[in-house]
Amino acid sequence: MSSVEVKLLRVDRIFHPGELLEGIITVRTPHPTLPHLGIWVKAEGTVNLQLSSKALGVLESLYSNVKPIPLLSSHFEAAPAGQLEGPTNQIPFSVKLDPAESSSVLLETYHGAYVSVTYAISVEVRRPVLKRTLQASAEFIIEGPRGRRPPPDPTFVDFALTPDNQPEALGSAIRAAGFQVSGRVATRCCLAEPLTGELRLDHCGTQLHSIDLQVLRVEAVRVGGRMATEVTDVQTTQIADGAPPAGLALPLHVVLPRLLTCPTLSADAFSVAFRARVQLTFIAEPPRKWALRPDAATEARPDTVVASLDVPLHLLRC
Amino acid sequence: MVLVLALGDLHIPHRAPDLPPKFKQMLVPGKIQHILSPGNLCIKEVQDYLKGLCSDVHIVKGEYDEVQNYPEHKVLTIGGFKLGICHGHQVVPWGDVESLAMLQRQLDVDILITGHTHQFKAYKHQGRLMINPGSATGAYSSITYDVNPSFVLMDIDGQRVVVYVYELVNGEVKVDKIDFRKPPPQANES
Amino acid sequence: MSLRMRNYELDESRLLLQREPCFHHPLLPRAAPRQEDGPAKACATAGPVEAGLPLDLNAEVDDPLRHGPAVAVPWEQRRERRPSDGRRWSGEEQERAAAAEWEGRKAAILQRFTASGSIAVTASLDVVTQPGRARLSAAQRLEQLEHPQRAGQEASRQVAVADVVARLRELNADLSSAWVAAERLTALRLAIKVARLLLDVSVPHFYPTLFVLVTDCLDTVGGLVWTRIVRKAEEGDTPTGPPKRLPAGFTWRDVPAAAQETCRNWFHKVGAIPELLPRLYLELALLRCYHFLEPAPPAATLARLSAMMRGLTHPLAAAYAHLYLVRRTAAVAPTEKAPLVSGLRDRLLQYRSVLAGHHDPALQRSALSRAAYLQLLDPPLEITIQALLKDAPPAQLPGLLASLACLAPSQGGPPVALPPAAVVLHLVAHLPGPFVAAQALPLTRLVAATSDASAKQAALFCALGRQLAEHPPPRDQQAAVLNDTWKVVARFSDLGDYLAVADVMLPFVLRHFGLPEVEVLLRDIARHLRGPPPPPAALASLEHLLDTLLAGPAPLPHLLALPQVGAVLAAFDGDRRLSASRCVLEAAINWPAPLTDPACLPPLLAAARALHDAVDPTVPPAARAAPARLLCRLIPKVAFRNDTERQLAFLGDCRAAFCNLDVQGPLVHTALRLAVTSQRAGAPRDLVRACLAFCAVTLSAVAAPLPRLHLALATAEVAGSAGALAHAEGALRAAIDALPEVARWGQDAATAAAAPPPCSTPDAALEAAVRKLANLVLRIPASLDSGPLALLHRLRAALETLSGFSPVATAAVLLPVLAALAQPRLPAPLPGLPAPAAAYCGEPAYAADLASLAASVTAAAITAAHAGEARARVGPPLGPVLRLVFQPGDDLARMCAQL
Repeated sequence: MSSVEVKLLRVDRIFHPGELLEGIITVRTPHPTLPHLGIWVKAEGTVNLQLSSKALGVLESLYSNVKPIPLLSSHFEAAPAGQLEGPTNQIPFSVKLDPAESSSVLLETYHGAYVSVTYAISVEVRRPVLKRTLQASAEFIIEGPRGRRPPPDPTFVDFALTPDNQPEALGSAIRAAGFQVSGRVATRCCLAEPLTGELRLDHCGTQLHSIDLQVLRVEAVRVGGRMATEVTDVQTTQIADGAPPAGLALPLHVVLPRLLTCPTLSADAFSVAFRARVQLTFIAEPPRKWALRPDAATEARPDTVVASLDVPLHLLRC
Repeated sequence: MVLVLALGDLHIPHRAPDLPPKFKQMLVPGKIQHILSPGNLCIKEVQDYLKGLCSDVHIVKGEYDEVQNYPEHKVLTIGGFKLGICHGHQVVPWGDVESLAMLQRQLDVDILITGHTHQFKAYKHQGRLMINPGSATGAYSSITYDVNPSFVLMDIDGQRVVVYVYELVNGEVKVDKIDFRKPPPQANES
Repeated sequence: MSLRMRNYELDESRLLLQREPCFHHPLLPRAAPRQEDGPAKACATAGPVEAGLPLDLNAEVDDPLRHGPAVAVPWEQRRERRPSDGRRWSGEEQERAAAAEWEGRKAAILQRFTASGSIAVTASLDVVTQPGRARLSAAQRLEQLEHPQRAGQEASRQVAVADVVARLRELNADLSSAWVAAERLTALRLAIKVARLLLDVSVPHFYPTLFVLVTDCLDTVGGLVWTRIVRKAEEGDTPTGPPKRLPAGFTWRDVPAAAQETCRNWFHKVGAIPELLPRLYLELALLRCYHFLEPAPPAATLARLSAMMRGLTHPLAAAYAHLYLVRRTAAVAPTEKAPLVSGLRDRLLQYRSVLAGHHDPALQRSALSRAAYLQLLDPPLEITIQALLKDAPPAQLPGLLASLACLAPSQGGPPVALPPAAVVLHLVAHLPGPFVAAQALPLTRLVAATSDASAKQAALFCALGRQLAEHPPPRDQQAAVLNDTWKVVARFSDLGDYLAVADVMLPFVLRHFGLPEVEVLLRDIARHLRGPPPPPAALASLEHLLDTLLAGPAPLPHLLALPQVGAVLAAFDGDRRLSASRCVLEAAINWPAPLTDPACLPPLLAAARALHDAVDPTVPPAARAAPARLLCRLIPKVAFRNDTERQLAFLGDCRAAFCNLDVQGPLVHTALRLAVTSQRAGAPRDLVRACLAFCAVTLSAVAAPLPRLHLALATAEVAGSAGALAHAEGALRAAIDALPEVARWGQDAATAAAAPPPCSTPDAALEAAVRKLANLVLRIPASLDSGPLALLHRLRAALETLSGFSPVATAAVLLPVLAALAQPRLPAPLPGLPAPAAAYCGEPAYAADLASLAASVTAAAITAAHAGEARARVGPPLGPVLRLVFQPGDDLARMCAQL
């Protein structure tokens, strides 16, 4: 049976806007020849939006359909109709990665929960009637141009977690025992560079199970006249597995995950932003010491109570 | 060119505590290829010391030797020479050249090394050498109390031997030498 | 046939070779001064001077061990020395060196914390240790690790430690095979899972072992990733292109962007690990790969990782994670000390809290004592401190110590918060010697002030003492150092601790102080020994101390004369007492000079008695040899100057005290030497005779007849030379009468133990002894009343009764004696005595007696020779003897022809 395959010349499949995407179409056939009606290549990029059932309610989310937004659309014939010799044929092609007219920019590839930006190249070998069209496709990644912008100044934002800035749900015992975690985090940061900052436990009256830094995404999709916003967890990074010595600065160093993060963007129909969340997990009752810290896989986790504080981030491609 | 050390009659520790320090300084490992001793080292530690100087050590039995398995006499060949060792208390009378010569003929050696009298002697008899290296510690002997510590080093090179005599006189090492060449065979027989 | 006339002196002078003085000889020390070269050259060319030359070249061989302490090469220079052949980065060398060093430590850790038996393991660990599945693929293993429940395991169960170890080793192999099978992500995930095992601190005493095994796996992964990126860099963007090799000593600039991207990807994957501990371990494992991205060693990264470890709140987990950081630092940036210092300070916070007992409740639940727990924390602490100090520039040391609160930055006042004792211990032990020497006083005070449960103060002083012995402080501080030390040590309640320090400090005192200080120290030790008997460990220290003391530079007789040495000896009992006694006696024997001071005898005699008393008649001969040897060596060593009586009394005491052992030989020899020396010194004749009498009595107790015979001959020899002719004659008579017994004993000995052929046989030994005896008979004249040849007749008579002694041998012995007796001058006459022939001059009876004896001996020999009887074993054949003894003539010629 005949088959087609598309391969990009760049192994990591990462391209920047305006670059030339080069690839090779390989057509294999067991027959001596393979007649066809043209080999077509399509490069496409879209923003896919989904509505959160939580934000809108189930019904609304079902019925309010949000159309994908095209970013790139390039369709051309890589080979005119004719015959290919067996058994293997290689047809090179190239596409200039320029934005579709409707939008002004090729957004970076991003795999979110409600918003995602994807790019793909697909190939069609059209064949005479009664013969199946041969198809193949490959995803590629668009990354913003690097090195165009100087790295941002590390503008640090100070934060402090105390019972005072926590919701009532925290519980009176922990509140009464008191705690304070302070620190700072660089809020404007490069996607290729780690998120930095430092954190210090000033005091804590309750036993701490862990201190973590979460990266959260805030995705908003316009539906009707309003934005449906949803906050989801991207990555959790443990900073301390208990209460570190008071007053010692712990460095924050969080590598931003690829594809799951992108430059902060805000468009008409949707927006993607990120936040850092400092999260303290307390062990509520009964107090347990480290020697008994049970293995997460086998024993039920101890009852924990969480205090947290969010700091908005501004992610850049630089 | 082979260096052969001949020393004996140390009588350690009964008659002397140790070798004179000046001798010990000279006798360093690695220089000497063979050691021949006419015995009366007395204790085993001395034998161990000699073995530390050189691996090839030949000792014959003196009457006070603690080590029991030395032979009464021993014959070996080094370079162009056949050497014999015997302590010498068996020679009657002690130190008599003719009796020594008789022993030399009996062993059929070119160089006979004996001890016991604690006095350095070197004789040439019918084209053969007889050497008594004396006592290396200056121990008193059956014959005399006044003994200078002495030993002998032979430098054997084919048919020639240079005998170096090391003698401690008034605290100083005095070195003399005797040059000896083995006569050609026909001369030897006459 | 008449006896031939001889002139022994003339005969000798005829054959004597002339000696010529010589200045160059083979034993000339090589370091001869240069100026001698000129005139000596000519002589040297032919002489054997050169013989020594090639041997002596050894002295100039450039032996690296001979140079003093190696000079530390600064890091910058070291980096320049890139191996020309090694294609890879020079870091390879460091990496290998660090790995080699770790191998040693690893073994030590595994040995120190041998966890045998079984441990209760929680599920995560247990999964790794599942028995029975011979070979699982990495993916299967990962599956198990991720879903322990699915694997059907209990929450916690008992597993043999050996199993855990074996499985982890298997996992390490799996990692490599997964890699080869291009399941690289699987391998990474497996590595992360393995690192997560270190989260489990529920079995503390297994943690060090677990650390070793897990980091082995991580090292494997680190190496694989490194190799992978190198290959990626060399293959270029497309796998089809020709590989381009990275240059030797490449930098990040040589690495293509694609390979760098791959490298970053790895760090991204590691960065995504949620838990802190495995994330730290993995990043450390890949640390070396920063070389693909950055110009300099990853100092900033190390600092960050070190600071991030503050988030590890479990002391054990944090300590070992930091140990991994120390290890990786040694491999990638050995000169980078700052992260280690800050890390160490962070760890000390936790260490102190353990020390203060804050963790005790938790420890109790793990059934672990605080001390045992501190032991678990010790290897990371020691290795960190060692790494900190390794090649550290001396100028940085004070700052370093100040940062650990060990030394006040300025010399004023003691530091406020003292570091834990274990820290001080490792610092003192591993600081460079010269620095310890220079800072001896502050360090001593630090040690004196440090006291907590993490290390014994005694161990601290021992470490300091060991350093000080090699690297003494400046002269003016030595006394203060010793005083400060002893102020604390003297108050130690544990005798074992006290003696351990005393043992270590002794070399310092011996090397750098005088005898008075040694005496003070010994007095203090003796004072401590006065209490109850010390425990065995303390006795081991004491024994070593005694050893050091006696082998040290202090003059031995002086030490032996100190009553404290006796007190130390008395502290031992049983086997230790014997070995201590041996040690004392060995020291005395090896002392290069005679022991002349009577005051040093008591400890020696006490030691000797201890050894002697341990030997009773039931002890087999083999076990007697060692103590007998010591006593035999000791006896001649003792020589009181000019006090013959006292010395003789000493010998008498020894004879009485050491009757269980064969010490008569040395006693006789020593007494003879005493006789000789005192005679030469002009002592009264009575004293000399007393010595000889002592010999006569003593030798009669010798069991073996042949040695007894030789001792008797030795006595006769000295007696003759000393003019004590009656003694001499008595000894000779005794010797002759003992001959049959010697012969019988020889035959018994021959049948009992036949020595191999080259050795002297008992018969030969007997004949040699007889020949010596004959010489003495010749030399020592018999007393007038028994007749001039009485001894000779007696000897002949005795020989005739000996079955092993043929008439030929008898003739070979006696004829030369008879010939010599006929001469007007003996070959080596006793001073002041005329030769018998001269003394009996004109007495025809004497000559006739000689002649008839000669004739009868000869006749017997010839008859025996004709009968084919054996010739002499040691002596010469009969013919030459006859030719030597008799006047040449027809009779002689005919007789010799018949033989």
